[in-house]
Amino acid sequence: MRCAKIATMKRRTFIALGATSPLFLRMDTHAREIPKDVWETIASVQDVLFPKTQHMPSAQEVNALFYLVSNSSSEYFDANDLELLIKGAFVFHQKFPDFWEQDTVSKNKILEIATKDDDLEKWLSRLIYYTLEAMFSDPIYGGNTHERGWNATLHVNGNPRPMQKYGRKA
Amino acid sequence: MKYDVCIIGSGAGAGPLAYELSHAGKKVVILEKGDIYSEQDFSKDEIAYTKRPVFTPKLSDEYHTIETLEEGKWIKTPTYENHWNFWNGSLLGGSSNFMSGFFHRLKPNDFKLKSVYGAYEGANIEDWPIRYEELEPYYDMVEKIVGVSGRVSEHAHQEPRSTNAYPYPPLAEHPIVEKFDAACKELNFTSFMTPRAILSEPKGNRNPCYYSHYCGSYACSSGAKGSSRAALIQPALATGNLHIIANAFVVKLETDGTHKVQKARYLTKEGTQKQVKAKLFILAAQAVESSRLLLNSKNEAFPNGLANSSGAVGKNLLFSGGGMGSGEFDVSHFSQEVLLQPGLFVNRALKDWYFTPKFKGGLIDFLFEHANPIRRANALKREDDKLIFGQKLQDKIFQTFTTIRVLNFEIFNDWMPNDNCFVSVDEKYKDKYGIPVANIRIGAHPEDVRVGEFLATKATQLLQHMGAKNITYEISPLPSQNLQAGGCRFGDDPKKHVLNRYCQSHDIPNLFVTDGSFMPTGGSVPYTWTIYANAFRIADYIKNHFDLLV
Repeated sequence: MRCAKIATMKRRTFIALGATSPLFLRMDTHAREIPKDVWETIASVQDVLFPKTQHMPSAQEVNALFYLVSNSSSEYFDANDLELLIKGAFVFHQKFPDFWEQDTVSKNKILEIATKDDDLEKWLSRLIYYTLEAMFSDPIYGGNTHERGWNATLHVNGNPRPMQKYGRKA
Repeated sequence: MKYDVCIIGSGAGAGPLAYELSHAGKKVVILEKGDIYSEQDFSKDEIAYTKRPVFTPKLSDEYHTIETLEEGKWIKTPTYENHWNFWNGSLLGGSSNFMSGFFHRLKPNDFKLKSVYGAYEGANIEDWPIRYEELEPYYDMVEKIVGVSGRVSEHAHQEPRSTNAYPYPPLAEHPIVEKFDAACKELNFTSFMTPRAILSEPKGNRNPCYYSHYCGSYACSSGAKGSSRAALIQPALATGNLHIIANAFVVKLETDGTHKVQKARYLTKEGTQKQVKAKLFILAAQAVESSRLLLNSKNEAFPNGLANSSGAVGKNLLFSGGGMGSGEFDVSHFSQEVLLQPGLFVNRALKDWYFTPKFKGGLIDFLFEHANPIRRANALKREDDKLIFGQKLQDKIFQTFTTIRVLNFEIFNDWMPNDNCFVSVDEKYKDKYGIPVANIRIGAHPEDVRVGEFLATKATQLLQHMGAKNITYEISPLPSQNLQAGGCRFGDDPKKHVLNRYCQSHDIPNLFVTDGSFMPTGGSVPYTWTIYANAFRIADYIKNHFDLLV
């Protein structure tokens, strides 16, 4: 089996951007110290990124915010990603302070605008990724409530399912 | 205590030695960098197995540096920056736990590529010091001991076999193989049934494949997959002659005045330094890390590193040339129920161009895209490189997951060994323990991409005839990090080669290197079967000459 490698080479550019952007000032990021309004910003954006549709569950229905909050404090969570998620939320809130008050159409327009900003586009991309983790990971991690992500997409997960998180021994 | 044999690593290059030498009554110790797991510990958890550094070190703690050529300059980047992870499995059994088990033998001409095709400018191709016939009995041994399933397909480049059949019947296949076989017939291609190191029937304490739908990248919960851990180390433990020290990161091999290795120094997980003494040492830490350990073990007697009087340690590192491609099948090809049927294998390959009259070709393996839903969904979030979200993304995920199945192909062609593909160490870059990390310079020969492109046209031709949609492929000079070999070439000339034909150091008689490091050329197949077979060959040599070697 070959492992994919192309995306990894692009990653260096991404890290460099995050580190040097004037928007992304350096800060320590431990989940327990993250201000509540960061999570509120993330939750309100997740709702627009993953709305409930005819076939698919919403971000809320798969417990996406709880998933991110609880798993971001794991020793295995990528520290650079956590930093990016938090800084991005600060920047987004600064740029679009009344986002949460808007109607759905306006919120979508704001996110479209945000995707044109390099840093916010990277933030949204990571946020989509971690919301997808919430939607499709084993429910043991706190997302994918009632296996809604798997059920909606007819996905058959492999067995055995994990008894412990992060590969801990049975 | 002084062991008879100390083995560093527990993957494909280590398991056969542990198995054979412990059964021969030798007292063997394995120093494994990772932890010990067994079947009941494994699960199909996409987060743990593919998204987090659970079975590999954290790159912020232990990393490599990668040198790539960018705008004419070699640029060195630590992997904690580019996230290109060259660790492939730090646990008992190593990366063999996570292999897909696509098992292909090398062919007789793979052992004499230079004689067959001549020299390639800019490549350091060399014939092997042994012939296929010397390895064939050990390929056969792997089929029986590790367990290989399938049916022998006759084709133009079929290698000689001492038996007519694999010991285990083929695994169950998805109906898409009917389309594959029909398309091959129309195109006058040969449909090759890929042998798998996966049991289709029980073997001792190992249960057969239960078609979990999650195979490659995941450790096997039934023991069907022929990992070094399940197939070799567990039986070796039953002899009572094998001791395993887990979480033991070997940082130095120490020699004495007789120019023999006397002890292996290792660090525990907590960083405490310990040592193991043995009469004979076998290094099998995977190609990059084996070269790193030899180079980091330099001392007064061996100032350039152990086994390195030739200066060849780390040189001529090999990966696999080629790339990947895919085509889509949907509900116009099969009913939804058949299309999405989980677990069943494709197990088909094309080998018609393994050799061509003018150049060395390669292998094309076909397999379904992995079921991993997080990875699949995340791959859908862009259209024309632009991020999509909301209803559009949700609809795309639903439509793709419920109506499309992707058939991938993977191309394997020879990685041309060259002066710009090697392992070195650099005192400026150290891991959290203060040990210099391996630097991997990755320079590819243009032939790697040329041959990959040639093979991709054949694969896409087949997919077109199968009626696949949205056929794409990508051939890259950047390698897949899990396919490592070379760095300690074997050969008969101590001035040029690190190892002799028995993978014994030319410089140090009680030191062997038995992972893929010995290979002068890699062939156009995944390396695991050849590493297993060669390790069984070396085990025979050590068993028969042990007293002379120590």
